[in-house]
Amino acid sequence: MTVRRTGEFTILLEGICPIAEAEVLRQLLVSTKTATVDWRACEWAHTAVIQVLLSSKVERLGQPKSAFLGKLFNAQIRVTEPGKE
Amino acid sequence: MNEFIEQFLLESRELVESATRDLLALERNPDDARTLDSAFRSFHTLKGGAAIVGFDAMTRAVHAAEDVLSDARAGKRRMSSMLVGECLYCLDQVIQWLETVQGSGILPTGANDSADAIVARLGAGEANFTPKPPGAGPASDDWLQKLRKKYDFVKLGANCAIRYTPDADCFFRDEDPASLLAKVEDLVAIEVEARKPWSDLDGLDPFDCNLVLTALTKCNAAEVAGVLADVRGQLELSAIDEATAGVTLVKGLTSSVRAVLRAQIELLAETEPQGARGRLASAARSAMNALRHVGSEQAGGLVGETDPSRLAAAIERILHEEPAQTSDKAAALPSPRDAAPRTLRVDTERVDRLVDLTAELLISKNAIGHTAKLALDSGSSLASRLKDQHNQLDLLIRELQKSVLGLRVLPLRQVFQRFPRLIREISVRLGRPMLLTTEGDDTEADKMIVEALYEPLLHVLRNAVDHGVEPAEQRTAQGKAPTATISLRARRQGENVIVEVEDDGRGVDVPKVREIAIRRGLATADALAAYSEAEVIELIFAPGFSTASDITDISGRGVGMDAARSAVEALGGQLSIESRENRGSIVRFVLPFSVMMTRVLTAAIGEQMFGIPLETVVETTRVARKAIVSIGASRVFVLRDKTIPVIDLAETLDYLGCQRDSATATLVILSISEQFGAIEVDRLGEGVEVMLKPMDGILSGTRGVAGATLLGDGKVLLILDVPELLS
Repeated sequence: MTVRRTGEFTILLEGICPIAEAEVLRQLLVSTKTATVDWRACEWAHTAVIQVLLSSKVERLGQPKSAFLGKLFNAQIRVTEPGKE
Repeated sequence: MNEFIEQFLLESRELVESATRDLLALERNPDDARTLDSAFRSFHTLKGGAAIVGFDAMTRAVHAAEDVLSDARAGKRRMSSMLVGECLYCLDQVIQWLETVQGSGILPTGANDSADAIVARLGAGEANFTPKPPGAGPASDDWLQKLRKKYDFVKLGANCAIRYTPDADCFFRDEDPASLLAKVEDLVAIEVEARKPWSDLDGLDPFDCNLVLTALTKCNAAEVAGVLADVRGQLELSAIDEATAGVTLVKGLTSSVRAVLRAQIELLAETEPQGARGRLASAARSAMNALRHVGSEQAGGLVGETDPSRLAAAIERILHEEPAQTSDKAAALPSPRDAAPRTLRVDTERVDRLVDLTAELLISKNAIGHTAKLALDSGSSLASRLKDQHNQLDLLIRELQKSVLGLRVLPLRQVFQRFPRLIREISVRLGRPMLLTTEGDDTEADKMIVEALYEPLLHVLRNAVDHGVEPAEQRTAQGKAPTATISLRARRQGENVIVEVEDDGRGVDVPKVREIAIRRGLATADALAAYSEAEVIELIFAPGFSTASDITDISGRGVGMDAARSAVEALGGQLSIESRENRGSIVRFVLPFSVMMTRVLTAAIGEQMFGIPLETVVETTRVARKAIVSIGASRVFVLRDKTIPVIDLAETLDYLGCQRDSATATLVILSISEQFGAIEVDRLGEGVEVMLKPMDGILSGTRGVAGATLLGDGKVLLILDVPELLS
């Protein structure tokens, strides 16, 4: 399990999170309304997992190990939705 | 015809096919951005090609359709069924023009009027255009402008802009878009957008990819295209012109434009005074068109040039100054052709010549086999060595045959792709919604089979939609989907190719078939009473079942399923049907992979050797001559309670065999589609594999003979056309 709950409001992403974990993450986020995602140990996440993170706008703790992943969510990254620019 | 026109014709036909396929797909799914992009690209390239060869009317007509697609891409219009129809109409006109160009090298007179009509038709569709629904995503042309507003390309050192719109179902193909993008080196900016507004987490499908990734990189477009080659169809790439910090979709000259320019220099080098002015005008126009096609501003520099050598020098200078194109997105991305194994276009005549030579070689090999046998009979010491060499040659020639015949194969796509359009038209005309699905269209078969399959397949499909598919309301009442599905499938099975046409309609109306069979005298009511349901259904293949009085606009043209079956049998195949009441029918074509190789049983009648295709031979038997009796004009005999007609080859082939007076007759029993017959022969020979060459010249019309080849001893072997003999 690379995606799991580690505290009442904390969901941990660690190692390489495969596609199957996208649904796990979604369910955890649904059942944890004010969750924080600790992704500091995350080496890579499949796009499906990234998509769940993006759509939930959940608060993330620290920076992931993957620089690309960090870039995707930070720095010059902007997440926009059609019609909401 | 010059080579540019030839190339233009070849490419244009491929583009028309591709655009037709995309338009039909768009009609089902007007918001499919990838298909829309693909259709747009086909029209765009088609227009460019027409401009290069100077076919202005065609350029104008295709440009009008391209505009429609461009607006659809920008979200200003939606590809309604009517607009799809108008674009298809434009392609129909293009095909007609291409036919004329094929014959004469120029567009027909009146092409301008036809182009005007198309432009008007496409313009008239305006009233039906509806804007793309809000939230359907930003127009694909806007993304570059947005990036330019936000980032300083020069400062970032960006050389290429990437927009990657993964397919919604890409995860199911094991694609990980972020991972793929991460493989592009030197990314200087990344943007992530949602393709459509996010659902609430409760309703979110995490496996439905909803992201659009946009990025800037220091790599050039060709490098990016190489890294992301696997998702080529989901990408848009634009090279960034550093000098202007602007974005140019096209930079430099493509190889075809270079070739056109070089050809103009050659044309201008001609010194023949006659036609000099025409050559100058033609060269200037062709060069300018080619340059405009790739967006080069150098085209203007050639305007008004009146001296051939100066014009040639100007073109030479442009060739020297303009870089080879690397940044055109179409050129930068490997085309499907690049990605596929390298192919070579070869004139079919050359392939046929190779096939002929291989057939000759086979005959020589058979002759060596015959010589080896003679040597063995005469006790020659060389006999065994000759036999060994013959065996080795046999193996090599088999391999050669296989390879040579492999050159003649074509994918069934060549036939299949002609039908979606037809079904669409029939669907509209009959007011019955139906969908044609195709599977296995990359299954290959010999060119002759593929080309000959169109007619029978067309008839079977028409029959399915006309007689099989019920009106929508009737289908709904039966609990079926209102849209009927017709499946066209192909697969390879051993040495055969199986093609199936399945519909989910009403199935064959068995009582009606009985009624028609009685009415047309194909069987009596009493005889029919003993028929099983399958036997009754089989009657639809009987000659005379379908008559001219059945003519409908769609299927009946006085040609019945019997004609389809005859055509398939002429190819050495079989046609059968399975039908289930209210659940539909499956018509199955079993075709040989190649018509060229046939195993035959050799038999002699008098001095003449005949080859009988082995797949038609049921058995050989000897019967007492007196057991063959005359009934009317026919001669028959009874074999295990079955009456079998004996075919008189002497009469059928107008061949004077020999008078037979022996007490017993040697008969070869033949069967095709449950029809039996027997041929009396004098001697049975061995089974041999022959490359069947269709008869040509004065022998081509010979009834009952499918082809001829030579035997090892130099004798001519006539291959019998069994379907024709039994008909």
